Amino acid sequence: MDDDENKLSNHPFEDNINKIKKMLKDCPDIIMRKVNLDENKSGFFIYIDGMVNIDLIQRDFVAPLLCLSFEKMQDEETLRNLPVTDLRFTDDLSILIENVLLGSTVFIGEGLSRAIICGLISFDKRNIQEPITEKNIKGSHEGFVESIKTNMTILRRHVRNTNLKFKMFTIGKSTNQMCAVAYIEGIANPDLLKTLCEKIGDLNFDGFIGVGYIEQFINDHPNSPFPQYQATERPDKTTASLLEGRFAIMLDGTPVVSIVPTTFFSFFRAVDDFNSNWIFGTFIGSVRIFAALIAIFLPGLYISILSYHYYTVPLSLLIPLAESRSRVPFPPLIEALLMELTLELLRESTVRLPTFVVNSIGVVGGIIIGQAAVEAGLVSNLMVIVVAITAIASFVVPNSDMGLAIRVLRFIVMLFSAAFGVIGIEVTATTIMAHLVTLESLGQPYFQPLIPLKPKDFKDAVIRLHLQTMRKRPDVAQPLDKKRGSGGN
Amino acid sequence: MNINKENLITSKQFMILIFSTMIGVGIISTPYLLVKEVGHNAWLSALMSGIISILLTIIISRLLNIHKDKSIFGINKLLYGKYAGMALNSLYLLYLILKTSIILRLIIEIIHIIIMKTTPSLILSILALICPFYMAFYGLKPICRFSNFVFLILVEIIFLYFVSFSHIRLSFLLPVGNISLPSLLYSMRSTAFSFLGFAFLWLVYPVITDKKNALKYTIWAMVLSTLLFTSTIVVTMGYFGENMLKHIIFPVYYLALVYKVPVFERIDLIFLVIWFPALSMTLKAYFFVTYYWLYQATGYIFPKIKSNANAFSGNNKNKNSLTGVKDKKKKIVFLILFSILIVAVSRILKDYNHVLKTIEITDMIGVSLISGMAIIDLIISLIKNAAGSKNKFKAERRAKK
Repeated sequence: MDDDENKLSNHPFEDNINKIKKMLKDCPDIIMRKVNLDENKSGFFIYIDGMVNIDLIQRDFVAPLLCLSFEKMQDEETLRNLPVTDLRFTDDLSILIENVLLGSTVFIGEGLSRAIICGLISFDKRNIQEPITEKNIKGSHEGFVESIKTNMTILRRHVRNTNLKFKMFTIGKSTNQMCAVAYIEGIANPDLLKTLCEKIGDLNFDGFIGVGYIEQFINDHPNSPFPQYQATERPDKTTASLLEGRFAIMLDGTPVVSIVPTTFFSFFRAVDDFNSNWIFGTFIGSVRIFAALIAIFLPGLYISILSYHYYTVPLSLLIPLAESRSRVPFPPLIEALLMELTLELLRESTVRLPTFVVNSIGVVGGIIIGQAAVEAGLVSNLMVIVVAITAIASFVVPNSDMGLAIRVLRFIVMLFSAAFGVIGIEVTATTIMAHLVTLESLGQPYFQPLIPLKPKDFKDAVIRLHLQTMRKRPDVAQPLDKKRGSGGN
Repeated sequence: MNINKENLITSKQFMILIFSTMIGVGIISTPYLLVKEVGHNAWLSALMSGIISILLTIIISRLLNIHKDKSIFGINKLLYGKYAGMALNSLYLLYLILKTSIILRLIIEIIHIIIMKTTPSLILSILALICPFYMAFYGLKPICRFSNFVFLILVEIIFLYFVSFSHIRLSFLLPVGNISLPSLLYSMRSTAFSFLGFAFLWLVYPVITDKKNALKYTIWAMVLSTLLFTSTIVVTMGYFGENMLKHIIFPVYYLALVYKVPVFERIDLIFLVIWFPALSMTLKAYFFVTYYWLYQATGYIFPKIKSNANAFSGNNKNKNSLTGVKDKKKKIVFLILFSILIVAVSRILKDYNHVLKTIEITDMIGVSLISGMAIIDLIISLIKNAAGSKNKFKAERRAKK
C-alpha cells in the first residue's frame, strides 16, 4: 500500500509537487528551482544549497538536460548519455527525498514517469589532519574526518583490495545517518560479522551523535567501566585491525571509528610500537601496563600502608615519612582524596579550555597548589609525589576510554584501601580481575591472551616480538585466514 | 543437550580449577595440622593422601563413564530411587554448604591473624564474598578462567623455595618412616580438606566438553597438587624443623616472613597480596558448585525457580537464561539468600581453633561420604550393568531361537 502511495507515476504531477513542497516547508536550505520544458510542461530541480557542486551541476546536468526536447527527455537511454557519473532514476517519492537529503540533485518533470537523480555532491568539510588525541612519531599523520565517504576512501587507499568490504546501514530514526561496518572478506569471521550486523540492524534510537552511542547500545556488558570497543581516529590503526580480522564501525558525522572485537591489552598499544624495533615495542608496551597498575593502585597503596601496614615501610624511609606526615591534620584518605580530586579538576579544566589558558592552569595546579598545599601543612611531601606519579602514569595510557576507566577505579581502590587496608586493595583487584575475565567483546574473551591463556598471541599483546615471528594473525577475532601473507585472497 | 554456554568448560580448564582449589587455602593451613599429627613424617602422609585420592578419582571417573552426562546427584537418584537418592543428595549438599562456610571462615581467620586484627569478621566475610558472588552469577567458565591466576602463586612458591633452599636441613626429615601404618592412615584425614577437591569431578562432569580427557587431566591436577603439598612440607620441615613447625600455624607464610630482601626489607605483605587470589579461588569454586546445586535442588521443591535451575544438567529450555531479566533477578535473589546462609553458618564458629576442630569433623564426614558414595555407587552400577547386559543377551538368544 505504502509503496503505491509513494509512487510518482500513480499521482498527477501537481499532487507530487504539492507533496514535496509540503515536506520541504520551512526548509529554506532545500531549493526547488522551477524550469519550463517543451510542450508547456514544467519541471523542478531539487537540491540542498551548499551540498552540491553547483558549477558542475549547471554545466553537466542542468544545461544538457534542458537542451533535450521533451520527447528525448522521456527516453531513459538518451538520458543515460548525460555527462554525469552518478546518474540514477527513481519512481519512489521517499527515495527521491532521501537522495536530496544526502546531497544529490533531483530533477522531476511533468509527464516524466521517473525522477532523475544526479549525485554531484560537494560540501565543506574538514581537511584530513593528524588526530590531536592520537599523535605518533613514525607513522602516517593522516586522520579520519567527519564524512564517512572520505573515510571509506581513506581506508580503500590503505587496502587496495576488493576484499575490503563495507556493510552499509541507515541508523537513527530521526537523523537517518549512514553507518558502515568495514571488514576484509576472507580474513574476518562471517559469524562475528553476522552478529555485529544484527546488532547494528536492531538499533532503535532517534539519532547517534557519535560512535560511542552505537557502542553503548551494542555492548555485551553495558555496566562495565572498561571500554569493549576501541575508538580510534587513525586509519593506519584501523587498517592494522582489519588485517587481524576485526571490524571497524564507521558513522557519518564523526571522525572516530570503533574497532571490535578488542582485548584489554590492545588499549595499551600504539601504532608506533609496531613501526619500530621490537625491543622498543616490548619495552614501551610493558611500561604502559606497569603505568596503568600504578595509576590504579598507587594512591590506594599509600593510604593502606600509612593507615595499617606502616611496618612494611623500610626504616630509612619511615622516619622522613613520619616527619612529613606529622604536620598533616587529616587521615591519609582525606589527604589523598584532596589531592586526587584537585588533580581531576585540573585535568578536566584543561581538556575543555583553549590552549593559551591551559598553560596558566599548569602553573596554578603544579606550582601553587602542589607547593602551597605542602607548606600549608594540608598534605605531605610524599603525597604530592604519589599524586604526581599517578598523574603521569595515567597519561601514559594511550586510549582515553581506558584512561577514564583507570581514573574511576583508582577512587574505588582508594576508598576500599582506607577501610580495609591491603585486603581492600586485594578485594578490589581480584574483583577487577574477575570482571576482566568475565568481559567479552563481541563474544570474544576480553582478557586474552593472558586468560584464557594463548601463549602464541603473547607476541602481539603483552610483549611485541619481531615482525618475522608474527606470521599468524592473533586469535582475538577468530580470523578465517590465520596466516599473514595470503591477504585474504 | 542444552547446557548454558557460560558454564561449559574444557578438561584443561577443569584441571587448573581443581588444582587451584586444592592448593589455595590448603597449602597455608594443612602443613601445620599434619605436622602436629605425625611430626616429620608429614610429607609421607601427604604423598599417601595424594595416591589414595588418585585411586578414588579413577573410581569416580569409572562411575561417571557408566552414567554419561550425569552428575553425582543424578546418579544417586538413578541408583537409589527418588526419595533415598534425594536424602543422600541432601546430605551431600549439607556437607557442601558446611564446607563452603568453613572455607569462608578459614580465610577470614587467616586474614584476621595475619593482617586485619581488629576488623570485625562479619565485615571481612562480606568483603571476601564480593568476588565469589560476582563470579557465581556469571557461571563456571569465568571462574575457570580466573583460576589461571594460580600460576602466579606457583611462581611465588618456587621463588620462596629457591631462596630458602640453602637453609634446608634434610636431617630434620630423618628418620624416614618411623611411624605405624594405621597412624599414618589416620593422619591423612588432615589432608582431606584439600585433597577432597577431586570430588569436583562428579559435580561438574556434565559441563565438561571433552569428557574423554577428564580423567587424564584430573589425575594431572592431583599429581601436581600432591607434589606441591609434599614439597611444601619437605621445604618447611627442612627449614624450621619439627619442633618449631608444630608452633607455626601458617608455615609457608612464615617462610616469606623470615626472608629479608634488600630495599623492601620484608616481603610477607607482598606474599599475601599474591596469594589472595588463590585463597579466594578455593572459596569461589566451592561457593559456585554449592550455590548451583542448591539452586537446582530448590528447583524441585519450588517450581517457580526451576526455569534456570536445570541449566547445569542440560534440561534447560530457556537458552538465554542469563540474558532474561526475570532469570537474572531470580539468580541475584537466590545468590543473596545463599550468601546470607553461608555467612550465617560461618558465624557459628568462634575462632581459628574452633575452625580447625570443625574441619576435622566435616572432613571425616566428607571422606566417608565421598569415598562411600564412589565405591558403593560404582559397585551397584556395575551390578546393574551386568544384569542389564545379561538380560539383553538372554533376550537376543530368545529372539534368535
